[in-house]
Amino acid sequence: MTQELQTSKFGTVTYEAGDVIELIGGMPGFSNLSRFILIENPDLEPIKFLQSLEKPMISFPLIDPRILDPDYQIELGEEERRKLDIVDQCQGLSYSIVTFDPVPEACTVNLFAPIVVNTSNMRALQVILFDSDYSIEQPLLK
Amino acid sequence: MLVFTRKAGESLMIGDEVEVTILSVTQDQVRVGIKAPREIPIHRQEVYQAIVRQNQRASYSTPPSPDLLDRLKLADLTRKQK
Repeated sequence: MTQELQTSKFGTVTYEAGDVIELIGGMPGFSNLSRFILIENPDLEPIKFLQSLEKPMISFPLIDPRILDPDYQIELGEEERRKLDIVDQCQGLSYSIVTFDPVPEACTVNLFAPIVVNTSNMRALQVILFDSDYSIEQPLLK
Repeated sequence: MLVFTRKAGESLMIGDEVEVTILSVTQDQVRVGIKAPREIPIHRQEVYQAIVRQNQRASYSTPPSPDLLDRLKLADLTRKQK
């Protein structure tokens, strides 16, 4: 059944039950929000938005980190795999959260704590890559 | 805040399942060991706070204007990847 959501940034958007992403435990700073949808718009490519269903004013810009760094790697721990119910790393899609600023040089991407989505069950997690050297605030502009 | 004085080798229990042990103490560093169920996330406070701050800043981001996207040259990168 198609449902509607009135958002503050994208107006009215429609989604199906199967589009809903369950973010396990929410995100640091937003632990009370767990239901999201992905908003894609050709005009914004390659940026997508992770839109909260519970708080329509909240959304997070996302980018595929491999666009920025083709060698980008995520090592999931045992507990993270269990939470996502992931057996094979290939089941997962990963996104990095972007912070936009009107000044291009000030736009950054968080490569240290990506959102990993298991597309086969729509469970997602903001994973913290403790053992990596990735930056929380990598400039988007090279 | 609850305050305890502990020596190296001594522990604290938080509830039934979380055990915090002081492993060693030097002049300016304390090594702490934590035994907790795997589902309890444990983070260095400053790292966790940095992620909270970044998530909050990102949540305020408005969709980028075509001009900003253009200046970031992201479309070029996407094309290059494909």
